[in-house]
Amino acid sequence: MNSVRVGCLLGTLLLSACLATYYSALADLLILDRSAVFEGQLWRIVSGHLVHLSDAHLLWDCSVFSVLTFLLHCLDRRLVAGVLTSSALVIGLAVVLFIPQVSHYGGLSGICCALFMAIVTVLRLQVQGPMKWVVNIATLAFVAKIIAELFSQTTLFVDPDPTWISLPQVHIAGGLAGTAWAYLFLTKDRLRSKLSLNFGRRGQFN
Amino acid sequence: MRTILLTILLCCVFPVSAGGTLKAVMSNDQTPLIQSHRINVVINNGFARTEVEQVFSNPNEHAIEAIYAVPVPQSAALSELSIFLGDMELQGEVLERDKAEELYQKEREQGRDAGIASKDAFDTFHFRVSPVPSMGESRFRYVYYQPIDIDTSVGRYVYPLEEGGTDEVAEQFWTRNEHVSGVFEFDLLIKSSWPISSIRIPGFSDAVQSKGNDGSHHIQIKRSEHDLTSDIVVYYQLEENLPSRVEFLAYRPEASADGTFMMVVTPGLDLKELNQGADYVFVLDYSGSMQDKLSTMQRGIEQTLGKMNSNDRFRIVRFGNQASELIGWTQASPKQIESAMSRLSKSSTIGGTNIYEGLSMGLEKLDQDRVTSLILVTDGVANVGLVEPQAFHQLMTTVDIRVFGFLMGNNSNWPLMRTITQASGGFYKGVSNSDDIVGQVLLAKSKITHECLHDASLEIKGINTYGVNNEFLNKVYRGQQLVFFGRYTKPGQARISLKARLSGADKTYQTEFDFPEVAVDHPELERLWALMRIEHAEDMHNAGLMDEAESESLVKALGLEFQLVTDETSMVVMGDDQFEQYGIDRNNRNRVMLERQAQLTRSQAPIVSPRVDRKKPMFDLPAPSLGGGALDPIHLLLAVVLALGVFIHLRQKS
Repeated sequence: MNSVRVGCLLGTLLLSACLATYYSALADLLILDRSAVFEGQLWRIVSGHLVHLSDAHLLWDCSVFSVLTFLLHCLDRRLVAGVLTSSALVIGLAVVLFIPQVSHYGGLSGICCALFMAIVTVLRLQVQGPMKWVVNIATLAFVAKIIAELFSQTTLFVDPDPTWISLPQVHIAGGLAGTAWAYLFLTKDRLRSKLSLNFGRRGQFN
Repeated sequence: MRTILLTILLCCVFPVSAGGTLKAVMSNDQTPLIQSHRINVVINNGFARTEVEQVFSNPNEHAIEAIYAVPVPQSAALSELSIFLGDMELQGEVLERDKAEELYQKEREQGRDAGIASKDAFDTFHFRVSPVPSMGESRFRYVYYQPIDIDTSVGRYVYPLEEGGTDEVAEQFWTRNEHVSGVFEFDLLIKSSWPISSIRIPGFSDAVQSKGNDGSHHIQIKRSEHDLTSDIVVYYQLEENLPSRVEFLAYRPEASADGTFMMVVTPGLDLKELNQGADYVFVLDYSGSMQDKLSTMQRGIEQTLGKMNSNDRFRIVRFGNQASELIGWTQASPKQIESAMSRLSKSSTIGGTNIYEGLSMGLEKLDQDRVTSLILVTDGVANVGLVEPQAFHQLMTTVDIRVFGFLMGNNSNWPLMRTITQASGGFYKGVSNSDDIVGQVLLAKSKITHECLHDASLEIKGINTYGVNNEFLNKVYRGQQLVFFGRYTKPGQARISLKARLSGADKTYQTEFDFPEVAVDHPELERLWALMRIEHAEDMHNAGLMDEAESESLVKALGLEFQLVTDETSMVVMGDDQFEQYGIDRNNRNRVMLERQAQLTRSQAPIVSPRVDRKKPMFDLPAPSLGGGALDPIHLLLAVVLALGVFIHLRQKS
């Protein structure tokens, strides 16, 4: 995906998130509503990520999402679309299948976690020396943050809305999805190049 | 002489009324006119502050005393009375009732500006202001606080105005002016940390509703003239599926002082519907004072019967001077219900109110094998037969039956109803003629037809508390919110346990949170706590557990310390110089100053959720309406660190 496309995608997603947050009719149509999903409105599994519950929720999610999407694009532009799509699906399905007490879900934070872990995975596969330590520390800090959220059931700075419960589980789902996609994608390339090398050698023998 | 006579009569005969100015029937004076009536209500964090400002004018050719009476709102702590002389505000102080009356009379006789607010049991607040100059005006204001609980996600606020009709003697003595000839304004602000899905004000189609950016809701009624004859009832419904919760507010002005707290527990309990047939005894008040409330009562009964299952049975007992069985045990089939309603509609009111006999008859013919609930509908003013609350307490402790009381209209004897329902482990509700009777019936019905927690008790461990109103808890019903007030001596982490029995099994619900060392946002909590203790003293006396002298002495002490108008204390208003001359400390003025400062601070602050069990929920959460992950600055910081890493990596690579 080239830079213009990524820019367009990012702009479209941010604009959609703003519209979905501030226009209640659109939010009603897009939010991940468990019962509506079971009635067949499957788009909500993905579109629910665009709906945010407050200004602060939208602000932090979109800020982090923009930075991380740009970083992943710089590192490996081929990964962007795949990480976004796969994590959106995995998180939405995880909410529907494994968190039954939540009737409605919204927010880009799970996808942000997927982007974060995808970047970390790419760096871990590519960097060496002291840079590897920076990556390891960032990974540990990220994991520690999720553990802290799991115990406190809240975020540190965003004023919690009393109607809404924080779900660090979706950050775990997002992180795993991002890691898995980036790892499989990159190792698939290596595997393919290894295989093509072997085929070439075999050809030489032939 | 005429003034003295009037005063003596005033002291002998309690004036009851709808909201309005009063004048004795025998007086030749014209009744003072109500030029304007403005009500300003703020509901915030579980309690309401109601401020009423009224301007009288005197159409007579001589100065007069204006007398204004309103029904006592349920559990209301009357805390401020002010008279305005131009821009100057004279504030009141609470004194012993007799002393306040004596000083007011002294000031009045000397022609100085003075006012007094007093309370007549459960019945009426009356305010007197003197002098209102000939052809001139007088402006006064009063403020009261009351806790507001949420029942099954529905909050209800009542501004009582309608005549209760329960004191015929007073009605014959006083004539009343209920008409506001100028501006009538009702302004209500609800600051709820939980989203409100709808607001309803029955009977006020001209009410304007708006929503603030901070999520607060504003309701305004403005009329160029109005009659103060019917209650204003406001319902607000919270969104469905909100989590069960514990909310907590505290006031502790300094580390060396005792703190006061209000804790509201909204249980999330799996209370199953009782599907097997149940029995319902309706004990209905057909006394003369129920005349204006009959249609409301009959509508309510019809709705309740209509919601019954066919395997339920009902029985109807009516009482006036005596009790009689109107309908014996009957299966709740549509045909039988129709026939019962037909008989009810033909019944008319007669005579006095013999609640004791009605209740006694209602408790007869019970089937021990079936769950039975007794529904008592009355205006609660027992005046025939046994009337002592102790007798009712004793009667109710002899049988195992749940009594659900519905108090019709204002001026109702809700302390007596509280005694009856507490003794049986039931509950009571006030019902206004302006109420959505169907809604009230449905709320009650859902409690009656579901399991409840038995033998409930609340424990607070880890800190020292006293004066907590957890003695009469006993049963917890579906949708019921538990409101506790208390005081604490030291701050720290407290472990709160609600212990009860559900379906024969012991249950314990626990949470932990901190009682703060210093908290200055809610000084009003002290008055609400004192009011709760006053009601508790009345309950103890009604149950025969405290003698009358001790109860009165406690009420007086609390009224004076926390500056509340009670049966033993009144609030007198006069000039600052006069207070100084009589050597009266300005305790109330100091309290009011603190409260106004806190209210100003709160009005400028965003709505803050008082929930304290977020980290360790007390109950299993019901399905919350919304959920999601959230990012915060730490995530952004991590992203920036990562960005630096990527930047360095890409530079090295290139």
